[in-house]
Amino acid sequence: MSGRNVVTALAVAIVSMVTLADAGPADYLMPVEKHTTPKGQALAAKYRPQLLQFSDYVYHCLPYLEIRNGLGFKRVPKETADDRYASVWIRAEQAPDPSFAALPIERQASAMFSRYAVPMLSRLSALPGLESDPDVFGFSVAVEWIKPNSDPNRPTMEILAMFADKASTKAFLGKKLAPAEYVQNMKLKFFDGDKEVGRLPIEIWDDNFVGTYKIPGYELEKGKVCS
Amino acid sequence: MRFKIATVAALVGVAFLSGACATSEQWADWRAHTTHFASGDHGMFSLSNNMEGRNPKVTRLDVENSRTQNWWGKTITVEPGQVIQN
Repeated sequence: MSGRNVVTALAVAIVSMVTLADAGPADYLMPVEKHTTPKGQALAAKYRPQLLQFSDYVYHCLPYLEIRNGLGFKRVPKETADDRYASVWIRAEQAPDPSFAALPIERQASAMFSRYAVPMLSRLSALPGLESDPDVFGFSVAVEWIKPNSDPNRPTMEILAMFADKASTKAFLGKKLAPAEYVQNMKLKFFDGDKEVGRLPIEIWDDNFVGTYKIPGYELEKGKVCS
Repeated sequence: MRFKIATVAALVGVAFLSGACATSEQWADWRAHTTHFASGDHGMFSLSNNMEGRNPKVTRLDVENSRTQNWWGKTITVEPGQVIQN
C-alpha cells in the first residue's frame, strides 16, 4: 500500500469514527425538511448546533430518558398560526412502582411533569439564542411513560404534552410566576393510550431527581461532561 | 340478618378507610423519595455485566442495546400528530 493510500485510509477511518460517535444524539433531531413550514425549517437549521447539544446531554447524561419523534421546532396541533415552540418529547423509562401506580392519574401526571418536564423546560429555555428570537414562540415538552399495570406484551403509553410561551416560562423558572398560574396559562393535554383525555389538573412541585440521580455503575463516555 | 348487614357495612368502611390511608401514605412515600422510581431495578439497567454485582459498569451503548432487546414493539398510543404538529 502506498503512503498516499495509507493516509486516505486513515482519513476515511477517522471520518467514520467521528460520524459514528455523533450518530446517536444527532439521530434524535427532527430533520429540517420534516418541519412543515419555512419558519420551522429555518429555525431547525439555525439552531441545529444547540439542538445537538441538548440531544447529546439527554443521550449521555439522562440515559433513562429517550427522545421521541424528533427534537425540533413544533406547533400546537390544529392551530392555524405558525407559532413555533422549541420542542422535546421524552419517554421516561421507569421501574414499576406500586406507590406510583396507586396515585390518581392527575397525581401521576403531576409527578411526571415535575420530575421530567420542568428540567427539560429549564434546559430548552437556556439554549443560546432562543430567548431573543422573535420566531420562537415558546417551549413544548411531551412526557410519555408506560401506564402502570398495562399489558406487558402491548403496553399502554400515557402522554402529557404542554405548550407555553417564552415569557411565562422564563417567569416560572425564575420563580416569578406561581406554578399554578403557569399551568393555568399553558396549553396542556393528556393522552391515555389511544384516547385523548384532555386537560388534567396538574400541580408542579420541586423535584431534584434529574439533577441528582445517578444510575449505579453508569460510565459516562470519555470527554463528556454532565452539568 | 341485621348482624350480617352491620358486618358487611363495617368491612366496607374499613376497606374504604384503609384504601384512603394507603393512598395518602404511598403518596407521601413517593414524594419523600426522589429516587423512588427509575431505579436501578429496571430491566433496562439489569445488564449482563452487572449480574455478579462485582465492579458493575454500564455504558451508554449497554443502555442502547438493552433498550433494543427489551422493547416490546407495538404499544397502545396516539398518533404523534395528535400530540404535536411538525
